[in-house]
Amino acid sequence: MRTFISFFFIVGILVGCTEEGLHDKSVSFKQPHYFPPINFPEGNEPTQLRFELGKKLFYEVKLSKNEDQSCASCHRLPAAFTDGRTVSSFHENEFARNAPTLANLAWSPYFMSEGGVPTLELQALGPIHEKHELALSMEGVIERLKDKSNYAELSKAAYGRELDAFVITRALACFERALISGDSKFDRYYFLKSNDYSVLEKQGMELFFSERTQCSSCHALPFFTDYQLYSLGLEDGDIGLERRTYLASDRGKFKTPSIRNIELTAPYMHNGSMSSLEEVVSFYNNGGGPRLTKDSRVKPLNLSKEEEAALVAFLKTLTDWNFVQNEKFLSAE
Amino acid sequence: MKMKIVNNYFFVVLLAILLGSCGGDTPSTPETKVHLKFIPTFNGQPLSIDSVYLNAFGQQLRIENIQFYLSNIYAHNGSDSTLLKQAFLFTLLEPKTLSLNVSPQTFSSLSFGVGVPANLNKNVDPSNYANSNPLSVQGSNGMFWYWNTGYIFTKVEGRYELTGTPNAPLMDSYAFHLGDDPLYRVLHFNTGNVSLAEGDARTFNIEVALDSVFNRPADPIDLSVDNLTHTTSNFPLAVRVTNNFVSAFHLQ
Ligand code: HEC
Ligand code: HEC
Repeated sequence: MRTFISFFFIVGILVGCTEEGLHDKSVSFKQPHYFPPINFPEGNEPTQLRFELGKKLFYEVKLSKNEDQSCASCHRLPAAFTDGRTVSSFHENEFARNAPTLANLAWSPYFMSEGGVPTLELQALGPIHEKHELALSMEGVIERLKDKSNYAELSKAAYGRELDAFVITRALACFERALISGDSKFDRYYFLKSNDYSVLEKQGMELFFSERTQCSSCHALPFFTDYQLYSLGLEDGDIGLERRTYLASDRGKFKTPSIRNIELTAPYMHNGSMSSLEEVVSFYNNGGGPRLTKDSRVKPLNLSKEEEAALVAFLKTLTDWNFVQNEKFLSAE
Repeated sequence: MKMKIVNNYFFVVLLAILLGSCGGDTPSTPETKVHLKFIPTFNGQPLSIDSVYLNAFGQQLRIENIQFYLSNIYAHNGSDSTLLKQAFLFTLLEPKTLSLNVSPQTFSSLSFGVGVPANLNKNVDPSNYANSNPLSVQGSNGMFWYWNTGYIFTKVEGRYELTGTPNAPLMDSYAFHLGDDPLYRVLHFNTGNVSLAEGDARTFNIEVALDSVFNRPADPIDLSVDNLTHTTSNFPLAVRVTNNFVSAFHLQ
């Protein structure tokens, strides 16, 4: 009963705040039944206008210093929200990283390659400030956007307050949580029991889920990641998790990326050092890189050329064409 | 059940906002003032950002920027402690005296943390704070790491020159960005018995002797090798500079 009253109370306030009569309504994001439910953070449950505001901000070039870049410059829908570049942002001039996909982040327990950002809301602060990304500041962004009446109005209608750091980070995170991808050829075959998998794809799938390769122990269902941090033995100036823990044993450990839509997200690895899936599979087959922190599962696999090809064929069934062509995720302007 | 809790929290928060905006000023309780004035110095003289100083290695340096957080500022009287302020950000280029409204009391020491304590540092979202809070997105003024969230406790930045030749230009930059939970330090200062009755005001001058950052006898910093740390990029150096920096605070 009390729930009931407070709910109406909120609606009353939100409506009362918008002069031009923008009405918000709660929405739920469509997701496959084989994905677990999303735990939305308190105060940022999805609504129509929160999603719209977040999308607008995601494509907003005024978020960048020179008004020429937005989040979508590095996270492009047709590339499953990556950018095709080897690396596109830098950490304090120390090293550079490849832009990861933003699909299915609603379920990620933390963000960035070393897992150092606990929420999507917090993550959104990063690119706005980092000098190799949008390189502005929250103050600058608010200053530029606050007089644009649709931002002011959307902000009030969606969150019941003026456009500020809270609203901007909440809305961006709300939009990002809607980026759900689980409708690939693999999903139809595996979860929905369709029958259009080729012999090679089936062989690749069996290898992927086998004891022999152990691919699926890290790239685990249903998101093709267990979200843990491991080293594949790749050696470059980027020490990965060691930057957070100061432990040499964590050197070169990175968050396992989801490999859904992997065909569209080349080049691969945190440093974009591999340009094709063939290269990635042969890297694993050869036992990974030389770093001593390498996970014990990354070892020579003795796959034949045909088996390598089967794995690649399987990886290419993870593409969700409906996701990367979903116009709801494109800028309305 | 979960939904219900969420809604009720929402309700309470909204109610608080509404009441807050409807009610006038809260009735004033009797108050006293405590001012903490921070005085940056180098070799005992007030610091000047234009001056060139020498370190223990005969290298020349200028200090162009210092920012640091102080937090959990307490007054102690025996086993009683009063929290005077949760967090304060000192900025060299806009130095502010920290002025606190305190209820009448007696105390014999002050303490504060240099940095931000763990419970306010990790897993917090600065966009939850009002802009006036030094821990907010805007209030933190660049003192937040976004790739590995947490506050930068202390920044010391400037230029240096290795030869020590008088009037040689200072071409190179040094930067010490110190933070992360292991670098949080708590300092205590005896004030003698201080008794504050209603209407009283007391100012404490706290010297921040920045020569300690570079020249603490136990661990001088050689700028030819140790001129850059973002903490994670060179943790051992961050620990050394932190230990030097916290030794800079003296109650005058
Ligand atoms: C200049 C290119 C660039 C821009 C602009 C950019 N990003 Fe990114 N983004 C990256 C790179 C590179 C990474 C990987 C960083 C890392 O792991 O250290 C990343 C990581 C992320 C992640 C973490 C993903 C994960 O799996 O942990 C999210 C979320 C994200 N970006 C969202 C955004 C948003 C929102 C914006 C706009 C406010 C934005 N990005 C702007 C390049 C960019
Ligand atoms: C020990 C855990 C683990 C195992 C086993 C593993 N991976 Fe990975 N995988 C990772 C991690 C961690 C990364 C990211 C490494 C980096 O960025 O440096 C990765 C990256 C990838 C990428 C590139 C993703 C991208 O977006 O850049 C592909 C493709 C991939 N793995 C496929 C496979 C295949 C196929 C197998 C089995 C042959 C496999 N993985 C086995 C942990 C694992």
